Amino acid sequence: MAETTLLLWPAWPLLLGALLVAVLPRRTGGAVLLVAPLVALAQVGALRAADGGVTLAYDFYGLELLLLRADTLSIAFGIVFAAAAFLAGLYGLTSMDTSERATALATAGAGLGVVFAGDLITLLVFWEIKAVVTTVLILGRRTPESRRAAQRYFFVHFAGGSVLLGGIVWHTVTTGSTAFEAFASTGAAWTILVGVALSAAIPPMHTWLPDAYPQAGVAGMVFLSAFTTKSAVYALVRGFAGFEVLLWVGVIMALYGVTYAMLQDDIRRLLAYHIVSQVGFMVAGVGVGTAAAVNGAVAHAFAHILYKGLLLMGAGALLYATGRSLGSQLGGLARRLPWVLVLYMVGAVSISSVPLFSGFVSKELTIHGVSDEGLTAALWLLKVASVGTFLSTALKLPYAAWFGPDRHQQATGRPTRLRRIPTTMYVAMGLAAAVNLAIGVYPALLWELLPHANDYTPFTSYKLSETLQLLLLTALGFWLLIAGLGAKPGLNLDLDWFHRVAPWRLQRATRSLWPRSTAPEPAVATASPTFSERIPALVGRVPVVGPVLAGANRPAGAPPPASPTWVLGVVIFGVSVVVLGLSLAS
Amino acid sequence: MTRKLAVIAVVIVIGLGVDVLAGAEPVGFGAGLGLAGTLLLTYGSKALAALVKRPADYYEHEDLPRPTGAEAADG
Repeated sequence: MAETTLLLWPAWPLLLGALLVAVLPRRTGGAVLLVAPLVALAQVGALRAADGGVTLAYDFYGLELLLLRADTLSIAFGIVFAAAAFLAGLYGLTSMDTSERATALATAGAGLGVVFAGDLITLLVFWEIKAVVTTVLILGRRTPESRRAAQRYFFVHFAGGSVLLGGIVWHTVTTGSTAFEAFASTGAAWTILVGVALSAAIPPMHTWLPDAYPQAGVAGMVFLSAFTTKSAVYALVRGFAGFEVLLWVGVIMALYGVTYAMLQDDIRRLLAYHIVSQVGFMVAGVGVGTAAAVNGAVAHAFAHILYKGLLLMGAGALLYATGRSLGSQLGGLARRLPWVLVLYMVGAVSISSVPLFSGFVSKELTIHGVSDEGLTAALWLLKVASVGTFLSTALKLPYAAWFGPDRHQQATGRPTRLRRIPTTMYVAMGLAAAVNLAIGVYPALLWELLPHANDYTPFTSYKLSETLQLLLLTALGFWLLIAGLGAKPGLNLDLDWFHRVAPWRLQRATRSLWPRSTAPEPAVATASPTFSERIPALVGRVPVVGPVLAGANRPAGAPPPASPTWVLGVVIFGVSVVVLGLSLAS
Repeated sequence: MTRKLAVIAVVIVIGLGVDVLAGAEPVGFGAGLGLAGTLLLTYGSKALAALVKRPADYYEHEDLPRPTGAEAADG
């Protein structure tokens, strides 16, 4: 029986597929990239047909852990995770190299491992696997920016994982249980919440997302969007529904994300900030905690994976074709990339809550959950966030990329050269668009997957009138202010100051503690150095702290010995050790 | 600008009429929020942009902001 149940565990085809893709020839590996998610989807379907209740336990040093726990919540996330893995794999079939393919499948496998984990230890294992493989996925683009972003991403997630581990240990020691169920409001639960909140990109712990996602490859970013924050949303729904603080955290997230998105020139960074904003809606629903609001959070996570995937596919297709992702360097592509425009716009109107598209039904359900509790202020603020979403994803970005003047031609006198977009990218975008439309037209498809019974009807005359007016007046406002809403080059400071500037300043401060040598280096070594003379070089080889310490004696004018990223790593590592120590001590 | 404002005024009036017919409560919520939200976010984000201009050493250790923005897709 256990062997039969293990066959139904949806993570294994993807994890095995990742290994196969790494060793098989490229063509065969491509087939595995597509087949593995379909097998996982079939397994989730079989679990659903079994009407939930399927579990698979294993023994871990005397603890009975649950590798597989299939209920309506995990099955809803499992279906959309497997579907997203297939669509993103098809999209990246041509563009991804072998290592990206393998890490992409491993990311999907780890995501499914998280949502089907029945206990906190299993959850943690897949959580950490996900952190490692997504780091490699970001590295897969193989640019200096992606390497640095991946380093920062890893350190931040290492810190989050350490806090999560500390919370889990604390919870297990105090309750004697590793079960992953709804938490009571205890110190251990709040510690776990901090670890999960980091992966959900809840401000002020969100900056890793707009920092790292746009540095991944065009398909890599689609995988990251589907699995990283949404695994955290799953954990929030499972463990923290009804934690009231999450309502206002979610509202702030929704507004924070759209406000920063308005400032972005890089279209993929703009969309990354919208992930923060949209996850805010889900977090708000979790905070309300009623059946309607939790349904809304799950429905919005489901729809978001599909429409955000489509948006990122469209933005990635632009990057793939033009080699550029800055709005201030695009433009005039409506006639040259019309199908990318059409398919992107399906995602854009979905995220903007246009009726008959998936985002409308899921966002309305979430807002319904908020308004049902009489939370008028939160309702209004979420609506304002919706305005910002429409403004930047469906108006500003398409105007900059497709309808505005070709800025490359203005700058160079030559039109933008386009690289041919593979057919598989178009097919993947087409399928994603079709699913978004199907859910929007017939929301019962989504309602059937939700954890609680749901009979909400979004298509009332009042809702339609209000939504259409909101969208129409936003569009007219854009028309009125269009001169001031164009894409502007440059970057804006976010709370990533703590990631990127603070370590740099700390590095300079540590250097100033020691006098810097001003003596010129000898042109030719006259004798082998003694051991004491070799100490600075040896210290410099010590991982993490060495370069910082060795930097104290570097010659004037020499390049910095350690990047601020490593200083950041030292700080985060220290904080993580302290948190873990405190958890164990308690 | 006058023409744009006139168009917006006409749309708002029509929207209010539709709200009354649809039994919306409060009347004009969507239209008001759409226009006010657009103005708020547009000018709010501009004010924020002025506040959060990057300091001189922001990304000093990196090659950002990119001089051309040209990025090769997938390495």
